[in-house]
Amino acid sequence: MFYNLVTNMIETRLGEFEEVILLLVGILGEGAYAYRIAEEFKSQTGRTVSIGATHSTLDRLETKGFLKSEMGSATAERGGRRKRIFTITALGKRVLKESRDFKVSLWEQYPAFKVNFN
Amino acid sequence: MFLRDELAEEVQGDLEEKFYVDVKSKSVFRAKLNYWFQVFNYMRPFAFRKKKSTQLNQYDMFQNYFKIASRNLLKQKLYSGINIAGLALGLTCFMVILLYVQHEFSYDRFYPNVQRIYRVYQKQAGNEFMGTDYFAVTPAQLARVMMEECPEVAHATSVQRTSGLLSHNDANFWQEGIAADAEFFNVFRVSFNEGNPQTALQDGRSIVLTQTLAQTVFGDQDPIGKAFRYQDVAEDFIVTGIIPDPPANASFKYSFVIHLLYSSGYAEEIKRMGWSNNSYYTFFELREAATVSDLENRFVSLLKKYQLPEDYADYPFKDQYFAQSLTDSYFQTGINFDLGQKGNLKVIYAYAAVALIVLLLACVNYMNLAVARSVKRAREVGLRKVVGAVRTQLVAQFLGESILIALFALLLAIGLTYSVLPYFAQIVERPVEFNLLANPWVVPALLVLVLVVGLLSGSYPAFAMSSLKPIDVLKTKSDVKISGFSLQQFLMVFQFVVSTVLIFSSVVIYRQLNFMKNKELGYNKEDVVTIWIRDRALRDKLDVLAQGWQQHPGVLNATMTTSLPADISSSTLIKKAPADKDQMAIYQWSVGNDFQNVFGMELVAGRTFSKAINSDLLQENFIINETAARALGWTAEEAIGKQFEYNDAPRSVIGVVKDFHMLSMHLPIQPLMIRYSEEWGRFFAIKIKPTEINETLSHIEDVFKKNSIYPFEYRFLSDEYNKLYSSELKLGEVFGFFTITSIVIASLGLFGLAAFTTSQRTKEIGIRKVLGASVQQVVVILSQSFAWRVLAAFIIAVPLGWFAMNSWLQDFAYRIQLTWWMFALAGLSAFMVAGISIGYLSIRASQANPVDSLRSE
Repeated sequence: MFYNLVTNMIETRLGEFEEVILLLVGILGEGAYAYRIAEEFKSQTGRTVSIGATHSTLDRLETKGFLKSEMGSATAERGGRRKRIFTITALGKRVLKESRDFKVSLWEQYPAFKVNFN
Repeated sequence: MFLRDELAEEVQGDLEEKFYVDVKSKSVFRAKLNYWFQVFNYMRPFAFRKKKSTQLNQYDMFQNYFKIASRNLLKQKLYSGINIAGLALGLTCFMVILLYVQHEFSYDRFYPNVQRIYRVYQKQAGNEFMGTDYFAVTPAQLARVMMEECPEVAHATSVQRTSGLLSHNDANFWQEGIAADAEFFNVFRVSFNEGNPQTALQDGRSIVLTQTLAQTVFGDQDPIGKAFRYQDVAEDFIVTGIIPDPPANASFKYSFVIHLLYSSGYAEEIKRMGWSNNSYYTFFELREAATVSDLENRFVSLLKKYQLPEDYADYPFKDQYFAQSLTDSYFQTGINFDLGQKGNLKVIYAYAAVALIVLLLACVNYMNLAVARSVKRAREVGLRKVVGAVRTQLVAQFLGESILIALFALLLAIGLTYSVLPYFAQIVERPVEFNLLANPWVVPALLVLVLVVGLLSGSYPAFAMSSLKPIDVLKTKSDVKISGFSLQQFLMVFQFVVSTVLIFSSVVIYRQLNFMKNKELGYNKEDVVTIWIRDRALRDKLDVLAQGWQQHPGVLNATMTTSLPADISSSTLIKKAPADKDQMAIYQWSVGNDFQNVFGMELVAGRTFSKAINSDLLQENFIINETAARALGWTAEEAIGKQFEYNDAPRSVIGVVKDFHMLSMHLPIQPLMIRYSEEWGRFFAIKIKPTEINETLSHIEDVFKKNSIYPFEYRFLSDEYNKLYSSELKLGEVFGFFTITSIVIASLGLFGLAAFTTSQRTKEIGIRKVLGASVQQVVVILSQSFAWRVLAAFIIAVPLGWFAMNSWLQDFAYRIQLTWWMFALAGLSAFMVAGISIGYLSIRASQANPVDSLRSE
């Protein structure tokens, strides 16, 4: 049943931007908080994104259960305010993997590229 | 900030970090701009405060409710006017009665120890007097004995009423006061303005004044230690204390308190053995933990101990003493010689019941009109449901609306009550005050009332409306009939039942009052001036006064009596023969010369008293009434010359007077003996000519003033007679008030309902007229259904009204018969009231040009 749910809702549950953000969280590891992720997104893709938009997506991903978050320790550089550090959950990892597998299987079925890929 | 609290820290941190990074690479302005760009980018649903967002939503909805409600009220001014006016009237009635009831239950509660103040009263089984064998008076010794021998009693005091002339220097003041022993202020705890309550009534020459009296007599001088003369006591009374005036809700009021020892009577009485002279009121303060029933048991042994056998040798009644709390005794009627003002619970309940019913009528009105109006709003309900209103929301909306209207009506009612209350207070002769803050519970109670009234009157429309199906409501073009029309009919019938019963009651009360006013009394109460004899010295001057008065042509006769013929309230015991064991209770009346000419009683047999006959003066000869003759076994003619035994001496009957109403109409005529005695007169009675009354009165006053320093006050016998029925008069007036209110409310409701149904049927009327119906036919068709309901109400009202008024009339020994025309009158008036409002509307509707109603579709 769970499988069913995921496959049926892959597109709605994990949009392109969400997928990138999720991946970025995984890449950044300990340093994944909203501002850092937004910066990373910019440097990786060349597109700018506001912190708010990033945060909103992070929040949504957390509600879906793909991310979990906790407040990090305070540092002097930002006026003593703490950061919210996001980490990928097991479900998040599985969804990423499934998303990739799904796309890969689509690529494999696509005749024009089949040769190139192999 | 608009941010959710838990987000604020991290977000601010992120933004600040970015800002500082930006400052390094770009200009400060750009960094700031970017900062604000980021802030605005945070305005996303997830980041907003959650609570605030939901509130905003509902606020809009409420605003819409208010808007729709006020539009509805304004759009249908007639209905809203009727609604609010009806409710306001009902609420006014209710509030007036609420304040009255609150006042009645506040009597005597200003004493700090009121819960422990009791009085003693007794039952003398079989010694029936004025219709009851309970008496409020007790022996003089009782208070002292209770203090000494009853551990339950903390303080006990003997009290008497006294009234007389207080003299200071040359100023004389007629005042009513209290004579009591030294314990008085221990039982009735009053905070003294000046003086010490413990020592104020030390001896028979102390007097405590109320503030007002002290002010009138002494002005600004210090009254303490000043001297007074009271009545004919030869010594001075010294002022020992000043107390506040008894408040409006004191059951007995007085302007001064003196010690009982002021007269020699009490001094002798208290020394005497035996408990036979009942002429003192006994009040006491119960100890904290004690119970009244223990005390009442103790009374039995006290009576055994102190009542002497010789006291009761020829006295067949066994005394029984009871204790009653002061607050209960205020509502205790039917005890002879009771002290102070009394409230009548029956009357209070009757008023309260009627006020509630009137309020209910107003609620019913609201319901009826709301149901009728709701047809117009059915589409609103349908639409609300379509856009997602749930049933509870609709119920809340309609209930809220009716509570709002009730609140509006309450404001109106408060204004109305404020202006009506003084008149009501006058009718019930109680100083009922409109003070919303006097009692902490009044304001919350009124709000609860509004809530209840709003819920009560709005509940049916609310639930009926919210159950409408949107499809039914929205698909049809014409207005929808909603269920519950039978309830509407029922409510209307109920209103008219109440109105008819109230009209009927008013008619009966009015007729009974009229009956008592005009009944042949057996004496003539018109044109008789009575003067209460306060100056005892005047008793010996009847001849001088009578001669002086009769010099004026307007004065016909003058006499002196112990009581007025309307209210002969003294009785004694006689025997038919000296050897008889059985005694007979008989009322007694002492009269002076010429009594028959003054009061105009008719002699059936024998002769009246004469000054010339010595045995008349010696009280060997008596006149009796027909009832007494019958009770003694004689006819009027046989009675002349017969003898009976009174006070161990034979008395002869010299005349028999035709029965006259010597008591109020509540009681049947009793056996009565009349004797010739000018010793104990309490009233002068003067028969005058009915012309030029003012001149005659001033002559009477002049003669009086020549003979006495006492203030001159007179009353007409007819007014004194009417006073006997003051409570009935009050009842009549209050019922009249209620009746009018209920009729107004009912006809308002009917008018509204009729206006609505007629407007619903305009098209039908138009078609009927086009097809040839005459105006009369249309009127008949329109009024038919209402006429039937009024008729049904009448049929229900007849037995109800008959039962209620029949039981009211049982209190009168002389009463009118309930006849068919009273019902007919009540029914007819209800019918007329209904007829006028319906008739007006249906005539207007039937005269309308059918073109107007049919043209547009």
